[in-house]
Amino acid sequence: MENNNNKNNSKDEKNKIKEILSQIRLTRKNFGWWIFGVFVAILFVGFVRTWFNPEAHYFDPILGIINLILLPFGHTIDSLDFRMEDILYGLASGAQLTFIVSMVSLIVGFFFALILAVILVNKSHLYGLKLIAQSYVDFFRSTPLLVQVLLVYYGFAESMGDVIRSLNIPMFSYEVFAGILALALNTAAYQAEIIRGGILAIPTGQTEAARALGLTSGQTMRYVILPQAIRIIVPPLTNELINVLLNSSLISAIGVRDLTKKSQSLQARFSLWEVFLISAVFYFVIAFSLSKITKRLEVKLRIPGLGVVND
Amino acid sequence: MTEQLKHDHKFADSPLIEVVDLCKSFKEFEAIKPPGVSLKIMPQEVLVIIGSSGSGKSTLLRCMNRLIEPTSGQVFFEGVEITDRTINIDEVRRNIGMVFQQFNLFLHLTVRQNIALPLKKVLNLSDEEIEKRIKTVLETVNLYDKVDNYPGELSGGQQQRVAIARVLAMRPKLIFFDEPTSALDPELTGEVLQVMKRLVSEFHYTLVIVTHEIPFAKEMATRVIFMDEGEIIYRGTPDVVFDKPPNDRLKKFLSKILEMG
Amino acid sequence: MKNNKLLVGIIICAFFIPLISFSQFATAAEDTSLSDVLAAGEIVIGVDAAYPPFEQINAATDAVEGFDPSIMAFIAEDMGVDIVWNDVAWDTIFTSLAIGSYDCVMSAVTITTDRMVEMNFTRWYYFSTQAVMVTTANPKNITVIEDVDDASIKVGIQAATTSQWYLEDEEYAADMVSFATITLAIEALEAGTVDVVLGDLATLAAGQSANPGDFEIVDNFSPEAFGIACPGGSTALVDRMNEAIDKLLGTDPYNPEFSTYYNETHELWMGNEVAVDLDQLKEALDSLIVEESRPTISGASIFSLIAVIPVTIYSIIRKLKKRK
Repeated sequence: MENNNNKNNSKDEKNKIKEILSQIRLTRKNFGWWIFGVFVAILFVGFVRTWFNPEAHYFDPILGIINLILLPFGHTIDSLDFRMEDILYGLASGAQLTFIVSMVSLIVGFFFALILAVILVNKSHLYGLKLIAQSYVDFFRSTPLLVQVLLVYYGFAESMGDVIRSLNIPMFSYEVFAGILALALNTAAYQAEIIRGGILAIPTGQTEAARALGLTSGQTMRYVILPQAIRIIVPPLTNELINVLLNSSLISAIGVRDLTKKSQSLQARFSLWEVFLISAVFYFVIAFSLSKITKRLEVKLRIPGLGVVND
Repeated sequence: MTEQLKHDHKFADSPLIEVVDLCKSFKEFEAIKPPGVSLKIMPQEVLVIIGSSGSGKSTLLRCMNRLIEPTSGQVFFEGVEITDRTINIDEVRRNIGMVFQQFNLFLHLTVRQNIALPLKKVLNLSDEEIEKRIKTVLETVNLYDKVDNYPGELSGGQQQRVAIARVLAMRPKLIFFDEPTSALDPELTGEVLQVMKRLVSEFHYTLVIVTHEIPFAKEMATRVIFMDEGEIIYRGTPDVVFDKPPNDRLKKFLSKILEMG
Repeated sequence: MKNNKLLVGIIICAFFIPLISFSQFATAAEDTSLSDVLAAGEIVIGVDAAYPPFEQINAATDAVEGFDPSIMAFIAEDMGVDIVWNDVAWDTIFTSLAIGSYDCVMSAVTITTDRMVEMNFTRWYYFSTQAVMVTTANPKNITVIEDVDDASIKVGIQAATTSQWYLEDEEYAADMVSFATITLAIEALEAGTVDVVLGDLATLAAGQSANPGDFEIVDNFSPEAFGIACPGGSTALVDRMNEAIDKLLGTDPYNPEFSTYYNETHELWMGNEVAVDLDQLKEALDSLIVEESRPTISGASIFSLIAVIPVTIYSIIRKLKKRK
């Protein structure tokens, strides 16, 4: 009897492994995910390498692979075009900064937006706080981002410039600080509107039920409204994520050496317009993979039994 | 196990809730007209409130646990005035359960989490105690097999039974029902009414029910209140109200309901 | 079916990209650069006239003046043509040159191997070094160029100049602030927003003498020769201008014999006599000689090939799978 059970168990396990294997086996359906996964893994290896060897560049492994592809044709990147290595390294370090800046400003902006949205959906006036929040959102949604970037850059120069410089953090200059701040302030306004829409989309019955059970208004917001609102706002937030990433090119105007600035300077150096084409590929890879990942997140967060399954 | 759900009230002869001259007016119209509504709810009573829609029944119910702030008047819970702004209303609400027309289960949580959330965050119970209570209440409503399902995966009747279970787990002193079967298909109302009957017959709960289910009200109610256009028109025992209605407006309302039914 | 069409579209597009970039090699057919200039009777020159003493706008007459225009005046007279100055922004000056907006650029352009790929240069007409300029107070105590390798130091440079390439090639940790013109960088040094400015010695010296007592030039580095830049393939025009420059500087680039006109012009604009270190000159000129011809097909064509390979492999795999 026991033996039988054991056999059954091991069979089950085998089936399970088979099932998992069939999911991750390289097929037509998940071909893209494989390429993407390998790409991320290689980038990760590069990052880890830079910790042990400060001389190395995280982009080295990618360049190695490109060289490997070219090997059958009897070439390396360098032997095809001597400027290519400079361009790729330059753009890669710019892409790194662009990615970090946009992620940091997105996350900072999200928490700021959360506060704004909670103020905005509040029914009472909160001693003028609501008016201030509403004017903030209106201002940042009705002025161009480039102007905001310049405003923040020159506006905080006197008060923050020396403070940031005295911190002496590599890569974190006053320009980067101003760029992150401007992007965060801008995206906070847009995200606040998104979150507000998400909160308002939750039926009032949920609040009533939570309050009737004795939850405080803060607890209701935290445990009942926001978790449901988050699921509603993930698709528009994905949009905003891509927006921030692509809009971050505007901070090149204040001298942050991001992907756009790098491609401009490399173009000027080699008088080679194709640099912009390659930098577009860099932007595309980052933005496209981000949108794929967040799509995955969307599916993960979906509440069972609700909404339409469309994939 | 069911013993745990039973109630014995210390002050069996003093009212659980006393409402004095309660009025509520919204911006545009008066939901409960002056001079206002006054009533007492005694322990182990089953008070049924009937009336056409817009007559102020739901408003009255919500004013009694201050989900809606009354314009004037007072509400006492076990002798304490809860319309007083300085008291902690959340402390009071944990003793007053409320079941809604639209069930209002938290859609992002499983049945288990739905019941556990208020136990954990309001009553601060231990995990074992919470698990014990979840088992007890779900067995009472016959839904323990759905404990890990999400509300979206349940039928309307099942959802409403979970909502009742969620309220029961809090061990409230009385429960408000706001048209608990109105949003359900006719074939699903039975299971919900069944559970409500058990609450009264087995556990002797104090219930305040707003409903249009006349046969159910006739069977269960100890007292009936008829409201129309923001005031109480008639109060009486169910056999008087339903069998020989002494009031013209009540008569009209009942005949309308019966026609529809 | 639909997917297949999309795939084919992508592959076709991917193959087009290298075609676009290869096309610029196909057009290198006939060199009409000199005959065009002579026929028109005028030579159009791109210049960023905010770089004293090499070129600046005369406030009274609105004409471009300076060391470069004086040299050019000699060359144009030798060629028998008039000069048309085109004052444009520095950072796009070579892009406009490549698309043919002017015949050449004379704007204190350093001859570099990078630039020689896309452009044709005349022989050098001015030789100098880059310099490090700080305020007389010098709070960061910068004395040599290597002191710049410090993340807390802000270095002002003009964007897209050899100073910037130098900083990037040496991978100095300094916080680089780029300005549209060198005068803006010098103003920033005076205001204290940057700690040090890198640039051509003569330009910084001019900035120093314009604000007497404020600045100090502490170090020289990177010897550089200036030439006139013409679009790639305009050999005839370059040869003709070289003839004229030979009359100013003698025929041996390693051992210049300065003519009187050159000496006078130099005194007039630089305020000092010509002094060229022959060893530095040899070093600079030798660095411009690339032994093996360096491979160049434009970067995009390589990159698009890299994109094409996976797409092609993928489509072949798909085709094979469908056959099964």
